[in-house]
Amino acid sequence: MTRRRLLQTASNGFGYLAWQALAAQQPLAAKAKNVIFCFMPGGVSHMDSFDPKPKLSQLDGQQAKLESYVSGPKRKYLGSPWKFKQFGQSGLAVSELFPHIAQVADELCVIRSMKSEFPLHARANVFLHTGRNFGGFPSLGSWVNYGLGSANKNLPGYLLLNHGDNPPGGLENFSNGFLPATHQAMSVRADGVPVENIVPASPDSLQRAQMAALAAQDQAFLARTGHSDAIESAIKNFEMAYRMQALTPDVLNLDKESPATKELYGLNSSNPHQRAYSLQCLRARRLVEAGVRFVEITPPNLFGGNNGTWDQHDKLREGHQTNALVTDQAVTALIKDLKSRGLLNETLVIWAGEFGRTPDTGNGDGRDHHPFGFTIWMAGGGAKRGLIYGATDELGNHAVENVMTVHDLHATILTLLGLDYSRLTYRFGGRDVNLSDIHGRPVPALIA
Amino acid sequence: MRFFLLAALATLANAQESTADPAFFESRVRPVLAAKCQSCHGAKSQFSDLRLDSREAVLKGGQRGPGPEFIREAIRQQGPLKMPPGGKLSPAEIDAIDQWLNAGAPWPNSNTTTKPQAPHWAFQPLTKPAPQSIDRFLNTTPQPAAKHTLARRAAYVVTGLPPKPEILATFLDDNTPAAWPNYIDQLLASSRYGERWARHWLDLMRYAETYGYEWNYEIHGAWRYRDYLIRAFNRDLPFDQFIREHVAGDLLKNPRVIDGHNESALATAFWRFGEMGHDNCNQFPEIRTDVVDNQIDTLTKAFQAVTVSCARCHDHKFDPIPTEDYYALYGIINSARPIVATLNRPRKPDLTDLKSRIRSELAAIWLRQAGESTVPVPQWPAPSVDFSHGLPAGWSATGAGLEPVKAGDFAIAATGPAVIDIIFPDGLATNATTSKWNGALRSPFLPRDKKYLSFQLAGASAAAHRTVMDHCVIGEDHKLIEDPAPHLEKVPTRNDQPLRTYIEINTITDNPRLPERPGKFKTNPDEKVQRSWFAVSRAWYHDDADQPRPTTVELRLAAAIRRWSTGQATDLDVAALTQALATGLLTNSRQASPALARFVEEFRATEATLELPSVANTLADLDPGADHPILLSGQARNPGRPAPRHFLSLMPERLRAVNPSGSGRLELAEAIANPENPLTARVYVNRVWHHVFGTGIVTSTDNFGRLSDPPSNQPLLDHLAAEFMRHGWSTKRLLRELLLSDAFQRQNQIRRLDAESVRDTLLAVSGRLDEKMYGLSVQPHRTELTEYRRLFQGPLDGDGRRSIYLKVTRMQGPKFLEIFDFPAPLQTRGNRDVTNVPTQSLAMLNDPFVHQQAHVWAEQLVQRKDDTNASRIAAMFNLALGRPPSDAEKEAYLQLLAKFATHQDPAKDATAWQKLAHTLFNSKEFLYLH
Repeated sequence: MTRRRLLQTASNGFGYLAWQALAAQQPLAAKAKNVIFCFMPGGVSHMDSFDPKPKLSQLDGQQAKLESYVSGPKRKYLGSPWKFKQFGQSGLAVSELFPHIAQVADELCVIRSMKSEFPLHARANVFLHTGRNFGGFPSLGSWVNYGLGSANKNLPGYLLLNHGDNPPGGLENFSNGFLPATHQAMSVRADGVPVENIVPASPDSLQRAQMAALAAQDQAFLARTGHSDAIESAIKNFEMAYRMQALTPDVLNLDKESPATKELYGLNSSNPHQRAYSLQCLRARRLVEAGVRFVEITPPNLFGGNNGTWDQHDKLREGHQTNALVTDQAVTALIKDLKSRGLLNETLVIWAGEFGRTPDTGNGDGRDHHPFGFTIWMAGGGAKRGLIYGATDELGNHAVENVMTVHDLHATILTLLGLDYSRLTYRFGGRDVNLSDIHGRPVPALIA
Repeated sequence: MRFFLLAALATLANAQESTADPAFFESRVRPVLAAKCQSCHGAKSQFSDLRLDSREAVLKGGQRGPGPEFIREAIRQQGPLKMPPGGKLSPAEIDAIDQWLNAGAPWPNSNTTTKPQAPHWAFQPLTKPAPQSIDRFLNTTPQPAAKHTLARRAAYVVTGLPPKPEILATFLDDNTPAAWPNYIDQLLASSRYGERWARHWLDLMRYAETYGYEWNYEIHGAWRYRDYLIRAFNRDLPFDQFIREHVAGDLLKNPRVIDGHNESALATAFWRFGEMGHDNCNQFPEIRTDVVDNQIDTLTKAFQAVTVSCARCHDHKFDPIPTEDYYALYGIINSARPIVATLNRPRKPDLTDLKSRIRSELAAIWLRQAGESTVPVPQWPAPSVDFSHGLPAGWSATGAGLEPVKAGDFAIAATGPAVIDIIFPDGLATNATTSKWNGALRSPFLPRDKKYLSFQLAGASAAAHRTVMDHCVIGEDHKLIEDPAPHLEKVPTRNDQPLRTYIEINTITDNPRLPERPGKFKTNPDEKVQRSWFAVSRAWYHDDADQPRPTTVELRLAAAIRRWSTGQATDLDVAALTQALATGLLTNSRQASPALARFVEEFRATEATLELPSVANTLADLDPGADHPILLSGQARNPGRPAPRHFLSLMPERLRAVNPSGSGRLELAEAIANPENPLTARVYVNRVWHHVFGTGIVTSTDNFGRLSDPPSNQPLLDHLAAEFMRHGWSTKRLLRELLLSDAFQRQNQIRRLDAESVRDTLLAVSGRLDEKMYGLSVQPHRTELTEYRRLFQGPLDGDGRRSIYLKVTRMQGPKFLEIFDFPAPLQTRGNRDVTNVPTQSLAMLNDPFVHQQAHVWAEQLVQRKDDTNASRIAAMFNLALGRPPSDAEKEAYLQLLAKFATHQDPAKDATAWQKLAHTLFNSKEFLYLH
C-alpha cells in the first residue's frame, strides 16, 4: 500500500490533511462547526407550511392551468387546508401545521425560492444529498467531514439517525462516493440495537483476555511485516473499536438528560413515532456535543409507502398533519436546546425535503411532486436569523425571486462551515470534483 | 506531498472568478451558449449568418454586424430582437454573457480537437521492447518471502481462498525447483480460480441483480452472466473472444454454445446491469440517456480505460475525445434493443400423434353434443398486421415457445379438469407445446398516425402487453392479458409523444417489469408460477373513431367440428368452437371419456418432463442502425445534429469506421478486440498485474488518459501486452508468468483480504464452505425484510456458498461484504477501496456470522481424538494463517484455553474452542497477506 493510498483510506481523518494543506492557503472565517440535517423525505408542501398563497385559496376547486409534467384537464387548484399566522419580529408566516416551529420563527433563515431538478423521489433525494442525480458521488455529510476532519477520534464523523429504513435512492444518499470510506455515514436506529455490531457479543472479561493475547500476536506480526503502516493502523482501529463498544452507547444514552429536556423534545409523548423521532433529535444534540460533524435525522416512515413519509399524493390533510405531529416539537426543541447551551451559533440546523408539492391536485385531496419552487429553512451556524429569502409566484408554482438551486444551497452550507466550495475537491475520474459542481454559488445574503 | 501539490495546482484554477479565467467561461458562459444559442448559431445552423462557437465567430458576428454590438441587447430582450426564442435567459446568465463580452469574449482553448498536444503514450502503438523475462524490467532486491507466506499469498491471488492443507503440504515438502510451478499450476487448475477472477470482472461491470432506484426490479438472468464469467475464466477463454462476446455476442456468426445455451449472447448481459428508473421516458427522458451514459462509461472504462462519459456535455477537457465521439457510441448502443433473450431451446417432444388422438376423441364427443346448434361468430375486417403467415416484416419474435400455429391447433391444459387451454386461430402462440415455454413478440417502431394498435389475442398467467418508449424497458405502460379466449386488446401507441416506441407482448419470464411492485396490479401474479402464455392472430392500427368492428355470421357447430377434426378448420370455426366451449355447449372436461382422460394424462406426464428455457436481459439488434443526435449540454430534451456512428477518433483510422446499415456494434467489438488497438491489451494486463501485485503498473486502472498516473514501467507494460496477445490472449498464461516471476516472490506485499476473501476464508476455515458452483443467487443475510423493495432475507451463513453466489441487491447489498469495501454496483471499479475502519474490527469482534463460524469450527475441533491441545492449536494456525504457531503463540493460546474452559477436559469444551477460534479470526494476520 502506498502512502497516498493509505491517506485515502485510513481512519482517524487522514484525508483531512489533504484538505488542510489547501485550506491553509486561504482560510475562511468559519461560523458553523457541525451540521444537523433534518431531512423531510417525500416532499413537504411549501404552500401548506411556510409559504402562504391566499390566491390559491381563492382559486380552490377551479380548473388548474399550470404547465408542468402533471398538467391535464382534470387538475384543480387546491387551497391550503391550514391557516397561517405571522410569528416573531420577522413576521414569518407559519401554518397551523407547525405550531412549535412557529415559536422559533426568529431563529430561522427561510428560503422560499428553492429549486430542484427532478420530480422523482430517488433522483431528487440523491440530488439534494450529493449534488448529482445518480449514485456514486459523496454526500454532503461526507464532504463536510472530508473538509473539516473529525473532532472525536472515537466516533465516526457522519451519523445517520434513522428508523431502520432508507428513503428512495437508498444508501446512495449517504454514501462517501469516491471519498475515503471513513467519511461514510454510520446508521444509528431509534429502536433496538442502535449501531450494527456495537454491542459486545462476549463479556468484557473475555474480550480483554482476547485483546491481551492478540496484542502480542499482532505486535509480532507487525514486526514481521517491517512495521507496516497498514498493520499498525489496523491494530489501532481494533483498539478503537473495542473502546467504541462502550463509548458509542454512552453518547447515545439519554440517562444523563434532565426530565425537563426530555419533556422539551417530546420524549414523553403518547405517540410512539414522536418518541422515536424525539429520541433521535436529542441524540443528535449529544452527538454534536461529542464532536460529530454531521448528523442527519430522518423521520419514521409512517404510511408504509416507498417514497418518503411526506409524499401525500392523496390525503394531504391527514398525512401532513400526522408527520407534523411527529416532527414539529422535537425539531423546535433541538433549536431551543442548542441555543440554551450556546451551541446554536456553531451548529447549522437544516430542515428540507427533496422538493415541495404542486399547487394543484389531480384527485382532490393530495398534491404531487414539485421541484420548481419550494421552501426549506436553516437555523444557527451563522445563517442569518429571522430572514425570509426569495419567493415563489402567487400560486407557489415557480420560484421567481432570488432563485436558489440545490448547488447554491450546497455552496452556501460549505461557506458557513468555513470551507471554500470551489476548492474542496477530490480527484476522481480524471476531474477535480466538488460538491456544488460548476453551477453552485454561495448566497451571501443568507450568511450572518 | 506530490499529491497535495497536484491537487492544489489543479484546484487553483477554479478558485478565482475573473472573466479572463477559463473557469468563468467554462462554468458560466459555455453552458449557456451550448444550451441556448448554438443549436441555431453553431456548426449545424447559422441563422442570420451568426455562429457563437468560437471567439472569432462571435467577434465577426453575422448579418446584424459584429456580435458584441447586438448580442447584449438581444438577450436582454428589451429591443425588437429577442433572443433566445422561447424564453429569456436568467439575470445571472445575462450578467455572465455581458461580463464576458466586456472582457473581449475570451474563448479558452480547451477544445482538444483544435489544440495541438504532445502525443499521449497510451494512445500510441505499443513500443516493442526485446522479448525477455519480466524480471529484467524490474529491480527486485528483497529476499524471497518464506515459503508458507508465498503459498498463502499466491493462493489468495489465484483462488481468493487459503491454500487447501494437502496442496500446501505437498508444496512445503517439495524442495525441488518444480515445487513452485507445480503449486501455481494446481491453483490455476482449480475451479475456485474462475470464481475468484470472475468476481474481479464483476467489479468492472457494475454487476447487480436488481435495478435499484425506487422499487428494485429484478434484472432477469443476471446470475447466468456471473456463471458465464466463471466458466470463461476457468476455460481460459481468449480475452479477445471474451471482448467480442461482451460487446456483440448476440451478433457473432459462430457463437459459442455450451449445453445448448448461446454462451456468446449471454455475455451482452453486462450492458444491462446499470441502475434504472421505472418511470415512463416521455415524462422523464433522462432515464434513457442516463442508462446509455452509464453503458458508455462502463464500456470505455472497463475495456479501454478512457473516460468517454466526460464528453457527454462538452468535449473532453483533457483527452482527445470530442462530444461527437460520445454520441457516435450512443448511436451504436441505442441501435440495439434491450430485450429478455432466450439462450437455449429445450428439447421438444413429438406430441403430434397424442394430440391427434385427443382431437379425434374430442371431435367424436362434441359431435354428439352439438346436434343442430348454430353459433354466432364474429367476422373481422382485414387487419393492418396479420400474424397468420408467420412473422410480418419488421416484427421480431424470441422465446422457446413462440411459433406459428394453424387454425384449429390447440393447447392442452397442464393442470386442472379442463382438456384445452385454447384452440388457436391462425397466428402465433407460445404454448402450442407447453405453457412452460416463453415468448416475446415485438413490433417495429410504431407509425405516428394512429393512437392504438388493437390486437386479437389471448393469454393467461401474467402474459402482458407493453408499450416501450425510447427503450425504457421497465416503464409503466404494461397490462396483463387475462382472457384465455381470443379477444380484442387495445394497446396505446403513444403517438402523442416524440420518442421511438414499440409494443411488446410477452410471457412472464420475458417481461423485464415482472415481478411487479406491490400495488401496481389488483393482484400480483405469483412469482413462483412459471407458466404463462399468449397467442396472437391479427392487429389493427386505429384511432378512437375507427375501432375495428366485426360483423356476425351464424355457423353450424357440427360442420365446424367436422372441419376441425380433419384439420380443415378456419378462424371462424375456431371462434365457434371457442364460444361453444365457453358456454358449456361442448365439454372441455377430461373426464368426458376414459380414453380422453388417459390421453390427457399421458400428455401431462410428458409435458412435466419438459425443461424451462433460460432467459437473461441482454441486447439485440432488431432495427436498422440509427445515428443519435448530439444532446446539447448533455440534456435529453435538447437534441442537436446527429452524430454519425463510429468508434473513438483517438483510435487508429482503420478501427473507427462502422457499416452504417447495421448498428455498428459488431465493428465496435472487433475494434476493441483488435491487436492494433493501443489500449485494450495494455489496460487488461495492467488489471491482472494490479490483482497480482496489489497495485497496477498504471495505478489508475480505469483511466489511461492524460490525467492518469504515468506507468511506473512502460516497457514492462508494453512487453506484457505484446506477449499477452502473441500467446492467444490467455489470462492463465499471463497470470502464470507473473506468479512465477522473481518479482512476485520477492515483493514485500502487505494487503488486506478483500471482502469476499474475508467471508470465504471464515467459511473455508470453519469447514462450512460449500463448493457447489453456479445457479440462482442466495439472498444476503439481513435483519429486516423489506418486501416492497425486494430486499428479502437470506441465511446468516449464505448456505455456506462463496460470496460470489450472494445476490447483489442494488439497494442494499450483502452487508458483511460492504463492511469490507465491497463496491457499490454503480460504475466500473477496477481498483477497490481498501479501507481500514473500526466498523471492520467491530464486525470481526461482534458480528453473529463470525461467531457462528467460530462455533462451526469448534464443533469440529472437539470431535478430533488423535491430537493434543497443542497440536490442535497448531492445526488451527495452519488452516487459518497458513503457518504453524510460534512457541510463544502456542503457549498464549494454551493459556487462553485454560482460561476459557469450564469442562473438566478442555479438549472437549466446544465453547472454549469457539472462543479460541474467534480470537484467531481477530488476529491482524488473519485479515492480511504479506
